[in-house]
Amino acid sequence: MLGADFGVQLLQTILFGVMLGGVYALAAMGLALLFGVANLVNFAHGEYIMLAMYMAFVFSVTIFQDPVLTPLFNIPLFFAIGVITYLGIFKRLIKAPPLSQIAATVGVLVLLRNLALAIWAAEPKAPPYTVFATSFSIGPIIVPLDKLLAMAVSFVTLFLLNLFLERTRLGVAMRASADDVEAVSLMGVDTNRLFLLTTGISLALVGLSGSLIMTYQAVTPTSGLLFGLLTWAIVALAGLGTVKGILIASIIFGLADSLASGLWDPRGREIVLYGLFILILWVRPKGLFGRR
Amino acid sequence: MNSLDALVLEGISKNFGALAALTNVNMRVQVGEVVGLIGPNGAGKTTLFNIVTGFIKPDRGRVKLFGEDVTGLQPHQIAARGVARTFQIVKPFFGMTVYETVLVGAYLREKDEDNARQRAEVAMKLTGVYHLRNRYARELNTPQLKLVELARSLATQPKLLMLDEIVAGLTPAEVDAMTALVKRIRDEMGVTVLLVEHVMRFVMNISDRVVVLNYGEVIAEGSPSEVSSNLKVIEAYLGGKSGS
Amino acid sequence: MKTYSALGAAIALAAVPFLVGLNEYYLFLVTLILLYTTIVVAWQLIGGYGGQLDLGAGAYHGLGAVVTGFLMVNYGVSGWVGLLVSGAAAAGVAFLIGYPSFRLGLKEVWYALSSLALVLILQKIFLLWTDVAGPLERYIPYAEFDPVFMRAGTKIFYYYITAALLASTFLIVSRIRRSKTGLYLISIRENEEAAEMLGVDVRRYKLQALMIYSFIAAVTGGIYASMVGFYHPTLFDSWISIQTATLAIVGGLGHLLGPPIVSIILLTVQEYLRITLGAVIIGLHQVIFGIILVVIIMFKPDGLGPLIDSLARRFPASVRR
Repeated sequence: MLGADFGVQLLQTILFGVMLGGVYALAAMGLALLFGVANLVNFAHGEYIMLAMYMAFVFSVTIFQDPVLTPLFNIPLFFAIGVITYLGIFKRLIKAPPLSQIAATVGVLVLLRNLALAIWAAEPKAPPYTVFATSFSIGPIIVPLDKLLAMAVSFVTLFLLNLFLERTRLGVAMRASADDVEAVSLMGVDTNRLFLLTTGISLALVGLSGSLIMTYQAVTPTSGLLFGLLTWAIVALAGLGTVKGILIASIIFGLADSLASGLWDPRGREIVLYGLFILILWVRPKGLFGRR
Repeated sequence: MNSLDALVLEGISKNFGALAALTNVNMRVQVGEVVGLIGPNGAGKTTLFNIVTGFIKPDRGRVKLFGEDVTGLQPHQIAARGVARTFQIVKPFFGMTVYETVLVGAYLREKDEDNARQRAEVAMKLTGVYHLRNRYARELNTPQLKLVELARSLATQPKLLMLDEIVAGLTPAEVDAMTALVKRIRDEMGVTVLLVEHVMRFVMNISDRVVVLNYGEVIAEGSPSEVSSNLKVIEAYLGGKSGS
Repeated sequence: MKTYSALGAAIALAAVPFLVGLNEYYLFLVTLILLYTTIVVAWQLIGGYGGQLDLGAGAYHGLGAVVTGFLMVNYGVSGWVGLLVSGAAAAGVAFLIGYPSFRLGLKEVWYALSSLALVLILQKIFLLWTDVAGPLERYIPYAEFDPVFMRAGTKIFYYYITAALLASTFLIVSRIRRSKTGLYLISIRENEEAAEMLGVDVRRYKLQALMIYSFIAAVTGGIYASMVGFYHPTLFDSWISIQTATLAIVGGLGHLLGPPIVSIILLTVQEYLRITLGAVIIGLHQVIFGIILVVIIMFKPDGLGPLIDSLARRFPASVRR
């Protein structure tokens, strides 16, 4: 397929990749916050994303007919879940060595995955209908409205998050904690409360991203692994520095995802993503902000 | 290049971003000497240690050990060439007993288990931790851990022993005991010693020669009495700000 | 004295088939439990002694199944040869991924993630590689009893092979534990920098541990494939990775007796739950696993190892850690 046709297909694929990346960025941001601020390794992050997608599905089927309004429920719900998770599990893990954190959150991973399996079984679930299931065209390129909207929501949220991190007291405390936790606690900041709120915000972002990712794909209980590895890969590439870094890294992965599916084989998509992850780990080991 | 040199540093420089940790450091330690490295906090002493032992690579310059250029080698390769080192903040093997800890060091030179065990016992007895041999490292206090760290270093049968602030936090009596111990080690085992220290009582008592570092540069060297009356040194310690 | 308890264990292992009345289904379950326990014991080398949380067991186990199965199906090669070849292949893969990882000092979460990614990458590769595997199951030729080919209709054949494998793996791991290699590995786990300063080539020893364990994990995969008579890319299963690490941690990192005992008990419980409740609530047995893991880490981070060790000391032949 050479020539103009291929060119169009390529552009289309690239557009999808960028939009997808924009949505992944939200999910990855939640992880970056938790890992950066509280130094907590959450191996179950992907499973929370999976859960958020399921809840978006549930809300859109039962309450709204349209997934567009599901964030209204998902965001507060997952903030609450974040608070509960922190109080129940994470609080104890903060001081523990990374190995213990990984092991414990793997336990959470198993729990959530099988919970989903028990409740929703193994067939993929996707919202049945959305009012935004239309698209418009820019020349030969088709732009689906729902995905565009999702990307817009994501960008706005990231922008607001950035403002929050730079302008508010809490946000600055979070950034300071990412640099030096001891200093922050020595300055009188209640780290317990800080981490509690960080977890809540982290999962609230996950809740929102769950709704948005549903515009791209259905969810199964095993989706968690993919999103988990993906968001960790984004964090590996971006480092923990800035919102912008996460966004750029997410778009890179979104592009890789889209190009692999579009130009090669949708089944090869995961090979490319995980392969890219491992490559990044090997090529930029110093960029891996190992605080320990 | 003198065949009597245990360690030679030629033009060692190291920057961490904008911070010049070490600038054109030249130094030599002769076989059998005890050399003390002093200087204010942040002067670059630990960086220098890390470069010699291979944990960091210098930006410029060369490190020579017993005549061999070892710049850029890995720590375990440097250890195999006869260097042992204690750490400023002790790094114990918490889940191991003292015996097992020291045995790890002994295995560097002794392939045979029985020989390694003997070597470990000698090292433990010399440093006075033999009675603690079956205790787990996590049960010990800091002075004991320092002695265990010394024992495991000695078990490697080093030719050059590097001590990083080994008497920090010890009582005067403990410092004197350590002074006597290091002298004994030097005499009985024939090792060359390079030590970093803040506790003047220790450094001046035990060193044959003292090198003073400030802001990553060597500003003075000589015998302990020469250095302590050197004006520049006194200034460095009292005047201005210490090196970052 | 130690030989008595070893003898006792050997007799117990040998007697099990008769204890379950030579029932084919139970023999299958017991063999499966012993296979997974073998992986857990071997995992101690990289996880318990080396201190790396490796989540690659599913990759090596799957590789063993696929390579052994492929050789048996396409080339009529004996399963025994298949085990050796797939073990070597797994060790090779372990080297390919371990060498850069350890060279670059990949720690903790990054190593765990990359080993998990390995499982999924291999699964997808073999799903696409239709010459060797592909999306359909491949069946291994049936034989009533062909010990040369390594194929039999009755599960008791596989039971004894597996029991022998478990026993040998246990012996190998306990030998290593007492040797210089074992001591070096533990020193790496406790404090890598200190170990390096004592002359320990950290990368080399980690790689050694990884390759031995991956070889053994592959062998379990090959035995499994021959036993069930087919292979498929879903045998590259992340659950095996998670299960192995969980059992090893709950059993006590670095402890000798804890992990196998805990493995056998918990795996038996898991099977029991799957049989009784599994149809009612899918995945309940795994949920229990998850809960156990979280609880143990939070309240007994050293696992049950110390407890089991102190129990073992009551017996004359103590195989302490």
